[in-house]
Amino acid sequence: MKGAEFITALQMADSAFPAGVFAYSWGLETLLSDGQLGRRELETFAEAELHGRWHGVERPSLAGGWRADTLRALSDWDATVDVSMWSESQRQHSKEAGAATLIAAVRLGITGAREMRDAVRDGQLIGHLPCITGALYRGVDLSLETALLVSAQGFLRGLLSAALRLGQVGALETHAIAARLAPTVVQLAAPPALGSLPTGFSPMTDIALMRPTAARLFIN
Amino acid sequence: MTAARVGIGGPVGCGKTALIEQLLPELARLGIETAVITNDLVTDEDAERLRKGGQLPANRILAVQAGACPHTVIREDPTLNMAAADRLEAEFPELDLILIESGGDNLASTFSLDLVDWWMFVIDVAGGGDIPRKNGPGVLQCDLLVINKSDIAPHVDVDLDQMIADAKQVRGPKPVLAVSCRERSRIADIVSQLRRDVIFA
Repeated sequence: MKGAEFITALQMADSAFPAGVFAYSWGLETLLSDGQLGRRELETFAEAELHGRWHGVERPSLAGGWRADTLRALSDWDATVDVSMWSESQRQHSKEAGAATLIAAVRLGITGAREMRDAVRDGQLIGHLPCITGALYRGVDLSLETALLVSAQGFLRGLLSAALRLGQVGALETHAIAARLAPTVVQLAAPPALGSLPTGFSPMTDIALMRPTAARLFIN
Repeated sequence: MTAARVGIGGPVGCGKTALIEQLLPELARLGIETAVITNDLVTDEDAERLRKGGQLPANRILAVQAGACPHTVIREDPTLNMAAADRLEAEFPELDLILIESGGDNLASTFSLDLVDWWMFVIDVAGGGDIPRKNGPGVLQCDLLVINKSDIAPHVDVDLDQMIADAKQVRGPKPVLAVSCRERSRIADIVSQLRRDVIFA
């Protein structure tokens, strides 16, 4: 990775990058409040989510967005990701997060962002978060390999920071967990084969994400 | 033309939602088409309260949940609110004004100018007469400081005149208004300020 790409990757991976994702716990809050998950299980839960959800669902979804050469190709891929989702609430949250990401991207002048935002407004593009993110990472000249690493690390950080704000773990412990899971992140972030479809298995969070009213502090 | 975006921030219990409940009929009387976004710390209680009040059609009130960070959603990362405001504008092109109510936070809370054109900060006498002297960024930086619950000042041992004087001293030329949402006093003055500084600016 060259210097410019490294700096861009750091910026995209910045937890302060304004894209609205801080407001989602991706099912964690519901699982904690239901007693399905305890603070001692946070690390194994995060690892399972990396395997079952990020690797199976987010990774191919993002890669497809990155690989889409045209708005039409992105729209087709986005529609494929849409029908692969389990529930309407997941679908809705992904679209909302995608819209928030596009707001920032348009203001920042990222290549392709305005066209994507207009296509979402016109109903030509659904705008799921991982597809939009993949296309934007390509727009800022991240390689697919780097884009996937940024995404995987951001996914893990999102879970851990939600746990931190829910009072389940301290800041130092979140970084200790992140360091221990770093090899897993690197191993899982290899680009998928062309045409790989989203196929995840994370039943606990899939069910939790279908219970939007159970979340109190986070969107879900 | 896009609708003006106005932030309403302040600590928990200062009366932000009560203020909106008083502003809405006054804005409607003047023909100002309004929508509201609430940023609830916990669920969408404030939005539900406003919907039940019936002063606006329910679909003109959106709730954005703040992920346990009421300041982040209006300051460091306001994109969820910006997306909600864009949705409202697309759905209701006739809108003149979008009020964005923050979740209750502390005196350090401020609004991003990426999100709003103008914002007010609400404090109340029951929170203590010394709040203005604490020089919180919310008190100092807002476009209008509202001191709510002026009617109960004698009952909570607060010298309201002194509180207003302290606020004016720390804010310099920027305006301060003492109001009572319960008694509906000086609500029209806030609307006048809004019209002058934002809607017809």
